[in-house]
Amino acid sequence: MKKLLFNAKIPLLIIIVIVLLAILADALAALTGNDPYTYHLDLLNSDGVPLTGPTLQHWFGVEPTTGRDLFAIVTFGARTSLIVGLGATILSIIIGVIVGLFAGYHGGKLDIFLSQITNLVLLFPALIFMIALSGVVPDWFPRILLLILIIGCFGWGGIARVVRNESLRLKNEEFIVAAKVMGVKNRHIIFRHILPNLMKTVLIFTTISVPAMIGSEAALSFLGVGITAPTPSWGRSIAEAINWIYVDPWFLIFPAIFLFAITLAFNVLGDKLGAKEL
Amino acid sequence: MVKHQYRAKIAVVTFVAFCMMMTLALTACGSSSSNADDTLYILSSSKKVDLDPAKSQNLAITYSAYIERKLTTWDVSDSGGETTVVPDLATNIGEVSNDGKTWTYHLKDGIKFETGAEITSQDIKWGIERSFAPELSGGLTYHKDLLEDGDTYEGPFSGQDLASIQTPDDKTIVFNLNRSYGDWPWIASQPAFSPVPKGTVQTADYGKKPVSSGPYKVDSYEVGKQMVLVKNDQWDQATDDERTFDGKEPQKIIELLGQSAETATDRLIADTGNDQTAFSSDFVSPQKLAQIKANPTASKRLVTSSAGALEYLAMNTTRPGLSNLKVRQAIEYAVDKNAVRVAAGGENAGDFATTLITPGIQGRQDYDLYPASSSGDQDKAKALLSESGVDISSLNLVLVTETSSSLLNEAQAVQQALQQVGIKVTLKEVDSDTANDIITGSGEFDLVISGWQPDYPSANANLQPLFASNQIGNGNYNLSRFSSVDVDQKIAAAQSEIDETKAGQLWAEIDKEIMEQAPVVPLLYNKNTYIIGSKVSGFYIGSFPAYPVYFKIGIN
Repeated sequence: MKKLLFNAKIPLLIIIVIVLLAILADALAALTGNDPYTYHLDLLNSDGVPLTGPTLQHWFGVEPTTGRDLFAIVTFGARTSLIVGLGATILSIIIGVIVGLFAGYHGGKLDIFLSQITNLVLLFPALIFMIALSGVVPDWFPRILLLILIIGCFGWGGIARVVRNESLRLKNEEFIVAAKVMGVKNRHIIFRHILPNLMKTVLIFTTISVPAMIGSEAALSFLGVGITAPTPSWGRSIAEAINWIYVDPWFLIFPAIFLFAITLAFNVLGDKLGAKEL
Repeated sequence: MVKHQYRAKIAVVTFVAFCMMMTLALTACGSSSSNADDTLYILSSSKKVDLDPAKSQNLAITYSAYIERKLTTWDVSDSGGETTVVPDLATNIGEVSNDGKTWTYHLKDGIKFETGAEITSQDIKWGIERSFAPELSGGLTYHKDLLEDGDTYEGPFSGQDLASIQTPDDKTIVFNLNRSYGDWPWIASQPAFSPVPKGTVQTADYGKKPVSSGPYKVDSYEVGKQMVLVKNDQWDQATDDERTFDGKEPQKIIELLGQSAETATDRLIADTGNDQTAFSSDFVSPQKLAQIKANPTASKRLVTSSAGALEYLAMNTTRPGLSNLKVRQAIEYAVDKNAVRVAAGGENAGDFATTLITPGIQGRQDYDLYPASSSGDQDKAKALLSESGVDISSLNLVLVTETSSSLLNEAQAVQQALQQVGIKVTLKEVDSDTANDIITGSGEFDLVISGWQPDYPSANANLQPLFASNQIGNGNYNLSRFSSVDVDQKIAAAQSEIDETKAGQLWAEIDKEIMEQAPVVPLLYNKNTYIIGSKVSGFYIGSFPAYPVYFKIGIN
């Protein structure tokens, strides 16, 4: 365990820092009296380009054409990314575990049916469908919830397949067979014996899922079908900043670094956990 | 009814579109190896070109003028003078009868189609009649409301002709209008007034290869790739005083289609190979503008128009909250025009607007019914809101916006300003086609930022399409659903006035009367900025419209 913690120290640290930034976004922004919505046109020149880079007042500088505080945009954007990333991951894990468990443990026709659906979800051109779907959903539907639902509902294929294979294996382990022979009910076997044995797999998979989900949110927002303005989102900031790369590189650097850092950190953490456990 | 094109948009960014653009950009780069010095390239973000005059809303001086001549055309001064209407196929801009209802035109000698056939008055009549056919809708409609029996005519393909257009001989054409109309010579410069060989049957493909009457003809066309125009040897410079190319006349014009505006700008900044004799028909985006200004060689190749088209915030007057005059007046004060302008690119984007009639239009009177600093007046707005008796906290206004960066930024600038006086605004981001369907069709929205380039330099073209009650819905541009019997009557009266000074006064009064009802917030008189290659000459923008005169552009 000590070795694991040491190996995973740096990614864990990064994740903790970003999570703290997201949780404390309001408080941190309040330190300098900023929020991600207030315009500061006096900090821009007549073409809408920021007059300065990072300052004591605006730690990451300000956004071109609006003068909004970039630090606040990045930290509030972290909140958006993490809520969507974790929300979608939890949703996909729940669906994936249930489907995988039933398919693997129950077997037979149900297994064939559920496995086919899993394959369908895995092969489905999810991004295109997400773009289409987020275009037709009515305005009053909360956007963050919509993204969690869309990304979560298309992300459970992998976990379902892994859980199915694991439960197939577990089903034939001696302790399960013994339990069955003793007349233990299926429900008891699933919840008391199989699920606890799946926990490690699920944990590793969760860690690897989170960055993928965060990436999906950023991709959708980048394409203009994710979180609606003015709610900060890294993906949208990056899409906007690309146009400003020659004039105001700060605008691209901060959201991009954060997106890169959190995806990398979760992936490395997942790898370390996997290497240790499997 | 030209919906004013916005400053260069980022093309709709879906993965698919993105991949397609990349492919196209690569294809285009591949063809840059052979450099013919006398070929003019036009980089365009549109994927399709439809040159069918019946369906066209093109200005008289842009792309379609290469192919199609009309009865009249525009003379745009390159030194700031007023744009005037001048003869094109006709010998003069029209002889009017005393009652103002009958207009007669005589055709010049020596005018020919690309086939070598002489252009006759019947060909012009056929061209106009086609525009009435329901299957060819989408073009400008001014003449359809004016020609007698135009409201019931269904086009020539059923064998009927329109009796209010007479052709006593091959060289004469007479128009009978249902009322006196002083701006008729401008109407005769619109796309439908170009000749189409009489009897040409309707095919959906006519717009891909129309029979040319102008200096160029279509050689080839591939959707999403390019349209190639070559010289039309039947066109005689002696009959055409306007299409005079500056420097070397292009022997070939290639319009490259589906070019992302940003990529096109980057190519023109680099200015290599064929791009030296190229220009982009899209505006330079605010981001690129800031970048180019820091580049001394590229910034010399920027061409910016004077303040022209009106950009405005339309308020849907049929919706809860916005149906209340006091609420709309509060929004007039609340909007931060400066924030909108910065979002649009700062001073380059335009001047602050207060009137509906745009600068450079005859009869325009400058006034400001809602005087405030360029950042608005929040106290006045709040006071008006509390007077209105509307429960503001219950409102949630939907602002429809296209998913292009500068429009989205402008929408956010409006949103944050309204939020400061307590009005909640939700942005609805959609692609441009969907946005158009919503704002000109269903009307399921509260606010939208739109722009309007008049179809010809007259207050009528500023006001009638945006505020007459018969222009609501069905693809028309009365976006605020403004409906006033009194304004409708005054518009009709001003249209019939042949005396230009008197008409000007009438229009100025209508302008104020509409603004008292506050259906829109005038935001900016837009300036359009273009970038051109180093070997392009004669690229200028007059006082009207805020677009270059294509048929003056040559190569040096």
